[in-house]
Amino acid sequence: MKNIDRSILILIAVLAIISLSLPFWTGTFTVQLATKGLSLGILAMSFGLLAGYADMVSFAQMAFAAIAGYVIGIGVMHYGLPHSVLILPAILAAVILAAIFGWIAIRSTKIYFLMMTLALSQLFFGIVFQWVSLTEGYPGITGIPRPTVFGFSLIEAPMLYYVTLVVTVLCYLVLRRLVRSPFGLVLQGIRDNPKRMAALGFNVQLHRYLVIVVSGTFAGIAGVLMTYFTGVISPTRASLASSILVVMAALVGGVATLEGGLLGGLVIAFLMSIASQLTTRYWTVVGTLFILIVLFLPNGLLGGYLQVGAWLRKLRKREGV
Amino acid sequence: MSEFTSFLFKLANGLTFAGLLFMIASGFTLIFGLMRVVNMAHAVFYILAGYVAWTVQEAGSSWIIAIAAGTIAVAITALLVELLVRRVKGDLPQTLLTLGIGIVIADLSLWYWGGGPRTIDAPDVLRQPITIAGFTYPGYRYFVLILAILVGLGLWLLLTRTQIGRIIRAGVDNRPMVSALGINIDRLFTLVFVLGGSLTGLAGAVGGSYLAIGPGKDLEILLFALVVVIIGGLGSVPGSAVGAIIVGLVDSFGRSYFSELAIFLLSGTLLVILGFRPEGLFGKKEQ
Repeated sequence: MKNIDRSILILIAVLAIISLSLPFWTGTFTVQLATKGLSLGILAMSFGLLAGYADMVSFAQMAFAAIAGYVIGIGVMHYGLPHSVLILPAILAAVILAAIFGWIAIRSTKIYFLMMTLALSQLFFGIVFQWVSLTEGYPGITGIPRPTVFGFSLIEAPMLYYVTLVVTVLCYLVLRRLVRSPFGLVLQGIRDNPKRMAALGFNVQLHRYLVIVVSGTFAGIAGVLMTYFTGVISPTRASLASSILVVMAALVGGVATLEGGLLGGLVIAFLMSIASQLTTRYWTVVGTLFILIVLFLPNGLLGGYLQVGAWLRKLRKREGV
Repeated sequence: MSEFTSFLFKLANGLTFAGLLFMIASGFTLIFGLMRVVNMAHAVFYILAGYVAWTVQEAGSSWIIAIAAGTIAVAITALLVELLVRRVKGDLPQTLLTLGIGIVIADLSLWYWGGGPRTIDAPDVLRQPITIAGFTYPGYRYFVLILAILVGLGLWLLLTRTQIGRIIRAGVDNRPMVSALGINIDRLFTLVFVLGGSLTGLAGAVGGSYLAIGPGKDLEILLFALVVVIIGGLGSVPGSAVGAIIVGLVDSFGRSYFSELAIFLLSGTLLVILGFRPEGLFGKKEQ
């Protein structure tokens, strides 16, 4: 077990060095992809927090990201408000939406929960699609300028990248702290045996509700970053097709770990970029990849890596005997 | 048009849409009830049937052949999907698998049939407007409504009057028990999946004559199907009938009175019903 922990740490250290130095030795394109991958990573972590630590597979994460994006888009483009006053309301909007969705979805568990969050996020998609006077409908709000932070304009790709990197690392640390806190442990207890946790006197529903709201907060943060990155907010952000990327990132990385979510976000961003250069049948590639992952890599890359490690050790042991 | 005629018109629109929704949702709810799989490819089956029917009709075949071709194409697709879904265990991986399959089929359809809306021409006999007691309404929509009622009757007879129907109902209530009684549950799954898929296929081929088939239509249908089965109660066919009528009417009246905010009315309806009955109108409490 110690062996595995150390190798993961080395992996993270290597990733840290690569990520910090990235803009110095690669082109703008790679930096942009990494920016995209990091925000997808935050979303995958917010998905993994629910799915991996609380056994709640949510299809609503993109709705939380999208509502934050709409607050930024509408605020900047329709009301001419500065970015600085919009960040908190944007995240707050995601929190409120998560509080509403959670209140309804919390009554169900497992596959019912998935279905409920799917229905709610599709309703949200329908609302932003139809409410043309507010959301500009299908094409969405375009040309949203990037903000300026401490005098640095985020128009420069490396600047936005570093901001995204810092936010992502902060999100990761907060989430890591959260899942190891008493709250996180209770969650995992509820995941493994809700009846026992209830019998021990824990308020199961309250914990499940709170973690939905928390995960919605992080999805909202990712939504703000994504809107800065693309400069566009449209119903596509909240569509089922976008949700599949989040689920895929979480699955690729391994759903039970936060690190897996981050890794998955980056992997998917790069894979999808390669796919879109090779073919116009982008979604066919995404879908096929998704099918293959579900069929052959249910524990994700990190899980697969651990599996191979365990298998190698077993082999070595056998040779030793 | 008088106030009353316009009201009747909206009512009839709501009911015919409900008929279509019922054909889609009844299969969706049966598949979920029996297999605990949210078939995310279900709405894609709907547009696929429409596309195939359109192509067959363009090739010069009659309308009835086109409808049959669309339905059969989807039945075969559903069979293939089920054979793949069977390879993984657990309701969550199976659901995710249908999501991936749905995305691939939807994208390949977009590639093959392009982005434009496609409409299947209904035969002249069905296109005549019919006047009943001074109220004139397109004949084709009456046809859709009657077809949906016939499908509902057929399903009801199948589920209550035949041995296979009794087994399906028993499976919805208690899957391990049915399996333990020596019934081949895998074959039952295949049957229900193909049956449910075919009903959606029929809805897509028939519905393609008054709601155009095109990219994005699958998402719209998925949303309506989800709301119908959640309102009606998961796994309940009568529930999906009642859910379809509620959703059809709310959508029809909502669109005319609230235009771009109609979907808020639909969301509100869902919230109110779930507020009173979290398991849906005809649903049983989750085990």
